[in-house]
Amino acid sequence: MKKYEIKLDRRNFLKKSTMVGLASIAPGVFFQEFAHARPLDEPASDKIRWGMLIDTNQCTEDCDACVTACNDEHGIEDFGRPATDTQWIRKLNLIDEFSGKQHSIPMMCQHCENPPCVDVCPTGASFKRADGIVLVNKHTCIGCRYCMMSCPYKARSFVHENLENQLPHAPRGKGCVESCTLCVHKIDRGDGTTACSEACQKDGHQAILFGDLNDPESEISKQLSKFGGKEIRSDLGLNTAVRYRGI
Amino acid sequence: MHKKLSIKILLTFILVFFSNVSITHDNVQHNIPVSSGESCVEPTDVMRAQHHFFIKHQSHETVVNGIRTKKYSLNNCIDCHIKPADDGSYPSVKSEEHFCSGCHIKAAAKVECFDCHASKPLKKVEIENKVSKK
Repeated sequence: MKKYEIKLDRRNFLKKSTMVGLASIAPGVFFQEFAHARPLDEPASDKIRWGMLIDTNQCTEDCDACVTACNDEHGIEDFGRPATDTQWIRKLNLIDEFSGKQHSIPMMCQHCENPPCVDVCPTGASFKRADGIVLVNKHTCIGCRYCMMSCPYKARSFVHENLENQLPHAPRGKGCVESCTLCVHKIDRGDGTTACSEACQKDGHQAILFGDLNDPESEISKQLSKFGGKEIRSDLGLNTAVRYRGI
Repeated sequence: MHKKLSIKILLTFILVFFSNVSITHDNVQHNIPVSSGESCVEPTDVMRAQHHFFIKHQSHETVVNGIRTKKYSLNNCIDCHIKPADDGSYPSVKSEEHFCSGCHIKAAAKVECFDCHASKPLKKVEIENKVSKK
């Protein structure tokens, strides 16, 4: 019987070597096209992988601008039931037991390269878009919540309440699982940023940097290659698109 | 007895099939004149028969592939077809005044799009959300 193995190392090696190869062949010219908004009739491209780098040293405990901005952007309401209310981003406090150093971090869907939520979804509603964004197709979601159980980051929420006055760009409804979409509507519009990143910049923290991880010329790739970025639960080998600096 | 009954059934079928009442919904009042734009994205008879196929296909293209063309997008339907009344209020999706519900209530075909999707254009939704937050 054939044995199936996930060869992450080989896959990563191939990807990185291709990226380096492409970068040396056509610097600047080839990658410039990604900076522009994609035409409306063009599907998302797998040449791009959207991601975020979060600088935990810039993030403060008393600030929740990213959470508020996300809620406003997607019309997420609070029903006063913390156990079941929808959360696309939440603020966490991490304490290093050795040094006592505290970190406040925003936690959201990490947009894994190998997402467990996609693996377990019985209907195929949970899927990864070509440009690396992990989404729920709510037309197919049956609300079984397997994905919520499989997510190591507790990133997904189930809508327990009847909703009204949803926003046209963010359809949401009772009986479906949902999570951070990496502001997919803004990406498709060509904004080149997310609501949380915008709000963080506006508040002067500049802790959330959004960009294309596949483009070596992008700010996020430059910062990642210069300072590095940690993956939370890197032991799971999910290769997340949201990376943290300073933890 | 049976003959009478079968004639009655036959007559009923003939009446239903040739009366044009419930099958083509010509008698249903639409608020089409209120819709902005000169014509819909397809001829009226095509839209009546196939709008759900267009919308369903488009929904897959948009969600899965990220294609955001406006032609068959549900938001585009809403922007064009849902217009405010004279007093500025938008019709509720539960009332027959709503463009979609007008037919769907008459035809008893439950439409579930608006369990999740906005049934009014963006500006109206934004204003209402702001008011309810205050």
